[in-house]
Amino acid sequence: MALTKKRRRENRLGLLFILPAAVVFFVIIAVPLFRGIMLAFYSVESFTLGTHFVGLANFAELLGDPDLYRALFLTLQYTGAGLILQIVVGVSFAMLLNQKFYGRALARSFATLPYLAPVVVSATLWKWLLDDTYGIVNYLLMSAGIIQRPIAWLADPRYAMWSSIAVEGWRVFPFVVIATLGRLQNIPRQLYDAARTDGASSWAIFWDITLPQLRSVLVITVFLRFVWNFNDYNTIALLTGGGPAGSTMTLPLLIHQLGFDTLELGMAAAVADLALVVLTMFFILYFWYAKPLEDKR
Amino acid sequence: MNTKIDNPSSLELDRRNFLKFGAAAGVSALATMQGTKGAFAQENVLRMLTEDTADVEVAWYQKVNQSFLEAHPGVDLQYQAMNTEAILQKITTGLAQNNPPDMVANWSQTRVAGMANLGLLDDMSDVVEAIGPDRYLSGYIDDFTFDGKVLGAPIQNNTFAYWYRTDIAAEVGAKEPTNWDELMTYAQKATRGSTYGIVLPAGNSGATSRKILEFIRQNGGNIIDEDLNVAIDSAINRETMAYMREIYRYSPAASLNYSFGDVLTNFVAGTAASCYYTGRAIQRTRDGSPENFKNMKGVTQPFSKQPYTYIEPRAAIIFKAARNRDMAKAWILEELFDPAKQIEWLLTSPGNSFSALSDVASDPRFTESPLIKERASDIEAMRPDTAVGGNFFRVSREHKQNFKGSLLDTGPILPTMLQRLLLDQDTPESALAWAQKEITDLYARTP
Repeated sequence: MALTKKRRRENRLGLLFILPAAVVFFVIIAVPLFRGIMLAFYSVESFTLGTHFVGLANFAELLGDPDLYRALFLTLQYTGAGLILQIVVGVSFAMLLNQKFYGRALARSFATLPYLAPVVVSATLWKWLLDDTYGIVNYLLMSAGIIQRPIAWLADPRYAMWSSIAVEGWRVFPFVVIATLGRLQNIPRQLYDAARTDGASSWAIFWDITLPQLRSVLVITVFLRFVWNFNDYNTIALLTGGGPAGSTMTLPLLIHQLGFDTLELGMAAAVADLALVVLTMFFILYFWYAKPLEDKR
Repeated sequence: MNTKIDNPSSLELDRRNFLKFGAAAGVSALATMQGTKGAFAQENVLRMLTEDTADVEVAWYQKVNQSFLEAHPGVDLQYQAMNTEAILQKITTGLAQNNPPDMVANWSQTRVAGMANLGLLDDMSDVVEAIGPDRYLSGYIDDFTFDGKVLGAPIQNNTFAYWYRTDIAAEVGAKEPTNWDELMTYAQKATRGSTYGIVLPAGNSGATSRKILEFIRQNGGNIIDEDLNVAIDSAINRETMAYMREIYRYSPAASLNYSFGDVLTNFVAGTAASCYYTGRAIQRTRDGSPENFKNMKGVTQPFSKQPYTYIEPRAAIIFKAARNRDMAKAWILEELFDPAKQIEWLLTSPGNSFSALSDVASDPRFTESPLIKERASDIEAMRPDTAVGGNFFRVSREHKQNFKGSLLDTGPILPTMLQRLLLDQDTPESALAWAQKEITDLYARTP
């Protein structure tokens, strides 16, 4: 009985301990999230926040708007292609930087620079580099005879999204390098020695030793990068502003445009809600897939 | 024996003490937060925004802010220079929390009007009275008077000139463009090698929307007519769109991603032989390309049927919900409207802005300053008092005030329409029909 009392006291104390965190979570995350979701059911005047309940009208209008589906497709393109680029380049660089060579420490430092630079600096730099009149990229490609005429990398709908993906890939691949390199350095050497003794090829070593050893890091890296790519606003906003003709108008840019350019906060919230649904579906699928991998470890 | 673990009473005591400590800490924290909130609401915090972000302008603000702080010890002046979109975002979120910045130092008429219409701005009659209404050039106070109340203290104005290269005109045998035909000829002839005849904005920004308004008005058309009906889909505008599609052929392909800054960069660098810009082009070209500076000339914009330039008077505003309106008014009067300081500010980019005050506009410290004097004919082409034009709030004196004008200025409809046209995704007919529907729907949705 005394033990039960003690347990109760401990439980109460435990609740008291988690109360501050719960309050902070509620105030900073739950309430704004709930408010954001509810805004989608109102017509909202942006500056005064005067509201008028419209039910599902915002969703109905959005779901009938082809711009929404294009924005969703572009978001998935930016997220998926960006993710592949970032992981492939990041892991490749990490493996390179894991080799012993003269100046390795310096190379590792340089490799992190793009990630350390403010996004506005990186984006402005690339906007200049990719310009068709004075950009060095076109100059080099033309000098090498690869192209005959300058290409408007950020102003031609055929290239604008891929250029944005490439710039974002350049900017954030060091994140993958840092995460992966740490794990690479901790893979036991004996595994490689044993494989070589057995005559395994480099590809087999990568596929059967390195990659499985990196899996735990890659699981979380892919997860984080997917969410960050999906929600990325800054890079595209600075490079193309969503243009030309909407060819880079991803969901975050559409939300911003509705909320701050045309002052339709209710519609913006409705798009944000739909984006939240897509992300939630990704979380469910992802954890459904990742859980067995974790269980195997 | 570890009594603290095995002796329940001892454990109880520790917990109790811990909880007491926790409670005390919590109360202290709350008290501190209250204190912070109180301090935040105190009258010594002045939060000011400006979209004057050029280095020289920022340096001017820092200098006068220092002088203000010296005159008002104990004031906490929180100053932020940011672009228009960032300011709008800051204001929107601030108002949503009923905690807007106190003031915006230099805000355009279209945006002032939009906020005035929603009852968000403080009455500035006392500020204008203190400045002296007689000192104002004609029309300025009216520009910021809404429902009989002066809701902005008018400061300055600027217009857009057409800048072209006289050396290139001579080389290719083109006349100084005064009308659309001559403009097309110049742009066509000056496009050679790696040089484009003209650089025009077509990115997703207000620069593009304003350029479209100018072209449409110069050909006698309307986006919104005198009675505020959406009137963009018209025969005359189809002509204008066809002309725009043609002249953009002589602008860099990257124009589809260009805003104000990119336009000027191309002109200064010499990759484009002409552009439309404010007087900021003078200093930027002088500093960036002295050779081109000698050969540049600013003239009133070539037109088809009527002259038209984007003119946007600007004012200092204070929000009604601001927490420190008196201090904001003090800053405006002491810093922005001190003649010497205002002239210094105007000369941060000579010819870019013209004072709303007659005494400042004619002050020899301004009129006799080296660059203003040297470029007198360019300056003449940009004088707001003689220019014909308007903006999205007041397209012309014949147009009614359009309080939803800012939706077209910063909104995506006009740039997207132009981009679709330039990318051959639309004809002039279908582009205008699309824009007509989009603007009509947007205006219907917006209170």
